[in-house]
Amino acid sequence: MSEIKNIISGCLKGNRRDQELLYRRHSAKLYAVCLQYSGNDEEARDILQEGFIKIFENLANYKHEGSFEGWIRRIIVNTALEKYRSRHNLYRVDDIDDIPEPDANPDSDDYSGLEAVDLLGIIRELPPKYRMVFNLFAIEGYSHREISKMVNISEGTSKSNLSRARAILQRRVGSYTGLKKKVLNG
Amino acid sequence: MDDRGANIDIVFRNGLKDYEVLPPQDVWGNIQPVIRKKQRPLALLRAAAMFALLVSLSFLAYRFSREIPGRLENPVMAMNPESYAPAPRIIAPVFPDDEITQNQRLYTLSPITGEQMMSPVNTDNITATIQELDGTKESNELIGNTTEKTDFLTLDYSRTGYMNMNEEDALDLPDNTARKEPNRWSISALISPTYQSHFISGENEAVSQAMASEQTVLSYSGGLALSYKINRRLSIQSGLYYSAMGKELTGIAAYSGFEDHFYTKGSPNFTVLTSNGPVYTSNNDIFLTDGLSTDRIQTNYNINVFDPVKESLTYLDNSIHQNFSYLELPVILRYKIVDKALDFNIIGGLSSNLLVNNAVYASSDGSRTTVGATDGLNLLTFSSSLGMGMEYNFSNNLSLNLEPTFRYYINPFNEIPGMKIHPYSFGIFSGISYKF
Repeated sequence: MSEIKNIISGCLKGNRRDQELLYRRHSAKLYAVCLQYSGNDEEARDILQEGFIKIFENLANYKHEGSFEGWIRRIIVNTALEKYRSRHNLYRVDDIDDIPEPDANPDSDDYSGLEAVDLLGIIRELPPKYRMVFNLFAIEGYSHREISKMVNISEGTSKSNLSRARAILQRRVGSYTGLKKKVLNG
Repeated sequence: MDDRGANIDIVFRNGLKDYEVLPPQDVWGNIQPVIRKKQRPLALLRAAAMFALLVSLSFLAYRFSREIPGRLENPVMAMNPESYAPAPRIIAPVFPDDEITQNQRLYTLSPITGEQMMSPVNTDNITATIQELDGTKESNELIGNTTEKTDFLTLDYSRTGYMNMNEEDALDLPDNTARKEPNRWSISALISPTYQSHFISGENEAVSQAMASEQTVLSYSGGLALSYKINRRLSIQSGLYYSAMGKELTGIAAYSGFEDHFYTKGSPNFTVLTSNGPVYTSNNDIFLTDGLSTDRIQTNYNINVFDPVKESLTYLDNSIHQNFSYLELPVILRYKIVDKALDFNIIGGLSSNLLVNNAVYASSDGSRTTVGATDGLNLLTFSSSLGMGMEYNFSNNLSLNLEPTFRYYINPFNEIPGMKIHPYSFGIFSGISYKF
């Protein structure tokens, strides 16, 4: 029996040590996902907490088919999505419409200087609706049709939001790398 | 734009792929109570079921005991021939007066008293009424050496109901009409699955934490018992039992292949804290880790200085097993509260338990790898037991036994600083008894 199967089996029996072991092993990676889907730390923390409770509650439904990491990540993403839906009315629909189109020639396409922490900071600055669509499409790999159902928007809106998100990210990444190069070159 | 868009997607997807951020410390503290709350009802349900079982058995035994006629509780009433028990009738063949010889002397006696009935075997005290079949002589009373007449005398107790009431205590008949001496000895073979837990007093934080990851394994107990019937209700029993019990220490990953890497000489590589005492590893090929920064495993080779995966050690299991075996010498008293085809007994006694096996192992694919042993276990422990026995008699010699038994260990298995842990177990012994 593989190690993860043992841990899951222990969790299902209510073993506290295995429950904590499961949490400790996966919480750091999943918390990074939560931060990616949220604009502030408080929200990320709520998503992680609620997501893990769901993971433990639904552990018996995991059939050991496919990656366990993928299974728990989907639960976290779904929790983030529920959170987003519940707060959707709080966000302004046109809160980013005044953002200008990206430059035709941004500073550079060379993003090699960017680290994960920089990318996370940039993505979190996106308005919620663009951030959600970008995450679902670019990171999770969902299609616009799937996203439209998940977020309850049209496919066109999904595409438009993605386009806006990309534009903002390109501009900010460009500025960021340009700034970083200037700092490094003195 | 599409290419540039796809490009930025890849930048973020790859850049964030393996990124990890430690969550705030208190998040687990908020999750744990929620998931534990959902499990607590199960534990309560289990305890309630055990309680209900004991109460049901007690009630059943009580009901059976009430079915014994109340008159037995008053021996004076039961023995009073005038008020209750008519004199036994002796049916004799017809013979003329002159055929009654000197050996068949006739006496006139007063009716039998309760005390006479309670007295031990004494054929001179037997009083009977001769019922002459020709009806010419009625109610002549006879006393004498009935042994000389039993070739033609037959005792008829069938209509008195007396024998059914108290046949053993009240009357012992002459040799050729007496009931057979009851079997006083019996030998039994009994076996039981046992569930073990413990009562705790005191506090030891490290051990308490370790206990949270210990799971009791269903163990068993069995052996041979010899019992002697002191009287018709009370018997004493002893024998030799073998008892195996254990715990699964979960959350400890065990690997083999460590022998090439360890450098500590003369002391165990790993010490694992458990509620039964510290486990010292004796197998140098074993590597243990609980994957967490706790004090449960004390070692120089924690996960930060030695990575078993990078060093290609062979993974065995995510738990290790702690096993003990005892030879038990019990002294048990059993009191019969219901004496029917299905007997009910109350059982209580003490047992001396000698430790004969102490092992800790990891199992993988059905094979066991020795890890070490638990240190400091008491070689001799004492336990008390209380139970209720049901005995179904197939015949005069053979019976089937079922005995739910609660056992409490008077002294702990080990001395834990600041903490006293008294194990207890519950088992249902079943087996066969042969009486002789």
